[in-house]
Amino acid sequence: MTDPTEVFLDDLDLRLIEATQQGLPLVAKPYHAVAEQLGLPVEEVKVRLQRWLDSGAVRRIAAVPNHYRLGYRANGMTVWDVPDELAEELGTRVGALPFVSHCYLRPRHSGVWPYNLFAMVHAKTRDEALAQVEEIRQVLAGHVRSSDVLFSRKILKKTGFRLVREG
Amino acid sequence: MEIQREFSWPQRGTPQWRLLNDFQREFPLSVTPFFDLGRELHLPEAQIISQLKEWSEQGVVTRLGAVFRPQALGPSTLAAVRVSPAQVEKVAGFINSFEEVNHNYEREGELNLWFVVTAPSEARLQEILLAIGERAGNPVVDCRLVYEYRIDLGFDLSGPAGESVTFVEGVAQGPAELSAVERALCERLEPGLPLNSRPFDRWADELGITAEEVSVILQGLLTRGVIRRMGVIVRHRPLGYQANAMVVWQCPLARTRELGRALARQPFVTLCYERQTSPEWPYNLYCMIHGRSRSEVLLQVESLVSEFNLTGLSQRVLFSTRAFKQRGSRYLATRPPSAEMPASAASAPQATTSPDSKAVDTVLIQELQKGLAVIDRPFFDLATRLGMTEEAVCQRLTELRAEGLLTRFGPMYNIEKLGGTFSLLAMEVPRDRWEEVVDLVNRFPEVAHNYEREHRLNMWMVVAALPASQLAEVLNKIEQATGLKPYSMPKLKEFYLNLQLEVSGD
Repeated sequence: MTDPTEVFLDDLDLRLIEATQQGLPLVAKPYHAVAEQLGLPVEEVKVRLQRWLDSGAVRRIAAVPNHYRLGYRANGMTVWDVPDELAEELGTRVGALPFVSHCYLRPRHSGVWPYNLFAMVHAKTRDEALAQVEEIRQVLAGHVRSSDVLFSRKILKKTGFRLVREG
Repeated sequence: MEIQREFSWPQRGTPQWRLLNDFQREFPLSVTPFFDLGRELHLPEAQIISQLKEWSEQGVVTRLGAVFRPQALGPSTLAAVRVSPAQVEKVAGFINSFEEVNHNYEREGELNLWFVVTAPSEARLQEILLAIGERAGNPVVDCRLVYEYRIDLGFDLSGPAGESVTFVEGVAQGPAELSAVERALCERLEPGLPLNSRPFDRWADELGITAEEVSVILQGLLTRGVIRRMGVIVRHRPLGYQANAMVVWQCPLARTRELGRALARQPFVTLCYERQTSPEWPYNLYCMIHGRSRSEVLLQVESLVSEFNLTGLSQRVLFSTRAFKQRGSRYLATRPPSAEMPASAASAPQATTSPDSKAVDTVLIQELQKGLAVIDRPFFDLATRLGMTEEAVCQRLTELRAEGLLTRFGPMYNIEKLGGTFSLLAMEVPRDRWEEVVDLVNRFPEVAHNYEREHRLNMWMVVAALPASQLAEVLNKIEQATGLKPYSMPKLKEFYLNLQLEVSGD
């Protein structure tokens, strides 16, 4: 709890997150509408959102499309077991590939899950996605001990995180 | 690093010297920046403006503007293709015909044409590379930037032994997420700031925002690193440094970082990068070396080889023999806004008149994924470009959300920056309990996403906790509720978003 990077959220921050996490009102002046709903001056709402945007606490204020509905049905989580001492170097290279949307190192679980490098690919067809998997394999150039691709079969939930406050 | 010899530099310490030296970076972003500069330097505003105009005309100052992070405004790459000697000029001409190409050099070696493409989208970039490959009769090699080593400085007039040089390195990042207004501002910023006392006023008018909002947005772009620095851009390519070579090595992974860092610190190395390799071009480490002559450059390369013990590495020194094209990237400013839209939308004539057409939907979804600015009327600019009212845009968005094409529209919170954390959880859910477990798990507000995937571990969910200390408790609750073991896979390292290491230069 003493993480120096942790942002202290005051009560107004929490109320603002709560009011906007499901989305902004779709009107010409959405920040005015939020301000009105919270009984705040609009400048207060704008200043806080801008500060979060600048610090990265809000990635962006944007539309979140449903990739499935837009035709990107082949969503593959590619997972790779690569040597730990090369994992960062390899991850950097995989993350730089233009079609990789996310790339992470994650822990293995012995006996259940041998993979430490995760890279997400999105494509309209499974063949297209598999071609991308091959490109990743080429970048990993002989350092792969084992790998797998987990295609998603169904979205069961996609709401984004929700702030839960007691009381 | 000397500049034009006929130009006499202002004396060190004078207000003119400070104007050139100190404000390459700390440029005031107020609505009256020249007035504020004048106050700091004890010079009248009019004199500041006329001095900057004079320097621009003399070519000492390129522009008063921004240096953007590579790729921030769109995907970009260095690419090479092999062309038969008889075809070089024709193919170079074809390459230059693309507005998106801003550098094009002939170099020695079998891959003899090297060019830089900066495009509004990855799809367009690929299209160009493919077309060039077809024209050349050989596949284009895409040497995408992977990692960058650079000096964190403008250009220090006090000489190469500048007092405090900081080196910065980092993973190459993709295009920044820009709202329509931010993008429109970047576009206007590329050729530089107009030299008058309220330089933001015209842009503000054009975009339906205030000059104060312009300065806040620019400040935000600086904070986010989309703009690396803003201020006086001094031309520093020395006259007489005619020879330029790109030196490339095939360096083993384990040595690359250390070597890149060391090479970037050599005074005659102007750029140092790691780039993507390919079977036909296995070199991963790149340096640009400028010198007065070919022999000087070769001596410098030799000194690198002996000092850093590079004899075992496969190496190529590629001198440029002809520059076919050389200019700053202007890919935003030269293109109408519709160029970013997919071809189907941009070419649809009804796009601006029929608000419910498919083309408009495509543009709306595409543009609004990039984000909106925090200004009073965030839909104004987009609506104007589409020839719609703001109300019509909102109405259509409401419908798209109802149809399920958009899941939501609003701030995308980064829980980690708010003191929270995420983990990825995988579970093996027995088939006969599937519906029940989906229901149980989805009830947790902390479960942000949940996917069914093809694997023995068939349920994969993203769990968020705020504050971060609550994660363990949430995992516990999920295990208790379902009776199934969740395997937690928090990220140990992320390779896509901001990762910049500050390395001190001393």
